[in-house]
Amino acid sequence: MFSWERLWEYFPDIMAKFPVTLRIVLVAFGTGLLLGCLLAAIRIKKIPVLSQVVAVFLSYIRCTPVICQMFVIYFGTPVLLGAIGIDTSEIDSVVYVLVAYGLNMSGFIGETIRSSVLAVPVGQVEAGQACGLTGLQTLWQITAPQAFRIALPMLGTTFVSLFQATALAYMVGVVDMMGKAASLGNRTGHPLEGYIACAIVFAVISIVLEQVFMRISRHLDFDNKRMKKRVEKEVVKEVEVSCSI
Amino acid sequence: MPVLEVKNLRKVFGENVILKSVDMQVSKGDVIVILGPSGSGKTTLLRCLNLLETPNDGEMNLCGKDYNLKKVTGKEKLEIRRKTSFVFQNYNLFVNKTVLQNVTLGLTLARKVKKEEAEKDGRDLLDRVGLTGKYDYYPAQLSGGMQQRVGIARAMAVNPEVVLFDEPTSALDPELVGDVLNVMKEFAKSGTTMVVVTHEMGFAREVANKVVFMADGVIVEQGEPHEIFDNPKEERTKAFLNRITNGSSGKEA
Repeated sequence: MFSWERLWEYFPDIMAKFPVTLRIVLVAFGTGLLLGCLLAAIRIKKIPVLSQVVAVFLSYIRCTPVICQMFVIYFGTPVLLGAIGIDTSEIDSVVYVLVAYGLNMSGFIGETIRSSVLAVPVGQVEAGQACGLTGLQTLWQITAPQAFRIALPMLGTTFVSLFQATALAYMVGVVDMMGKAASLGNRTGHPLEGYIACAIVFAVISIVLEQVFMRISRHLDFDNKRMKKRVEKEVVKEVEVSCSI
Repeated sequence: MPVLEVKNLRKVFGENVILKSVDMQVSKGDVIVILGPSGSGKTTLLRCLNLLETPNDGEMNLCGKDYNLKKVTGKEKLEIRRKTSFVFQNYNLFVNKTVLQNVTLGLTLARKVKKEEAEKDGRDLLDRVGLTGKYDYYPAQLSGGMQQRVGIARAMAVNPEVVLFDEPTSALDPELVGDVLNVMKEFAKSGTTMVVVTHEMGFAREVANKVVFMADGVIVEQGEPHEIFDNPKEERTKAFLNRITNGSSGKEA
């Protein structure tokens, strides 16, 4: 039987594991950003050999489920490292999760960055060159901020998806929020309340994250929206002045 | 001695020869207007002058320094670009920067001018092009004519030896063209050296001291405006001017 009381009781235990989920999200996203920039640069510059290797890697990341990628890393790494005599028995299972999600994110974020950089009009770069800026100055001052603005909505969606996808980490024994819900269910014989508590936490945090990304996106807007506000203000001012006269 | 001189400038895109051995001289204070039919290589010539396009062959002398355009290095490109400036047909203002930042970026980053000094110069220039009070606006908040005037202020800010204008009024609504041309005239009168690709015949007649007519990647004819407009020697120049005058009776600035 479903019990509201039990649901309420489970909350603190499940929330206590939020830092585990948060760590996976932040590390995987950070790794994804760094590695993604590198992958994007390789693809944009069309560096021979590396570019082809990256294309194969991206196909693998985009065409296989993340849970499959996680199991391949989880079971494959000990085999690979064992073959060269490295003992992996001490490695915490969360490390495999971090590697798997980090690589997965690098693929998705890398493609987002690549398409965003390519979406910056070539005239912007030419204007930078014509002003006498170096390639790095143009990248830092012009291309990167504009590409970031283009990428932001997609990065936000990826971040929220990652947050939700971390729920799979408990499959390899990581005790995150989902892991805790599963263990509470096993212990008490009442799994439903734990999973509902998880669903509530995931939903609330996802909605908050979406709002945060939307606000950042709006804040970085350098298109017509600000103009409209400003023009409206000026019109109001002018009307007020003319009325007072 | 010319400020800018190019010899044997050649540019090829794939199998298309766009510029076939162009020679050109620009002296201090010159206002040179380049005319020619579509596809004649006017814009490519202009873009080759500040190396937005790298020529396949040619030599350049800019402010007394020689450059082999066939083997121009990254450092030399930067050097050439820092002595020239460019006004684009589609303005190409930095959309993530305010109007004032657009004007000062080339000063603070490329020429290491102090920020306060650059901003003072930037505001003065924006005042000069009629954009007082718009310093903190973003490009998307301005009309096309205003954006192009910012583009001109940005080009003038770096105190260049030569300013290159690539059809600066072509993307504008007709009623906005006048303001932009007036700003250009004012800078021309104050001694700015300009090379302008335009179809504004009124501007060419009134402001230019030299008109260059191009067709099929070569300079067909050049001379003072009255020579080219009133007494063209080459058949191709005559045909082009006839087409322009019969087609639109020549836009006046």
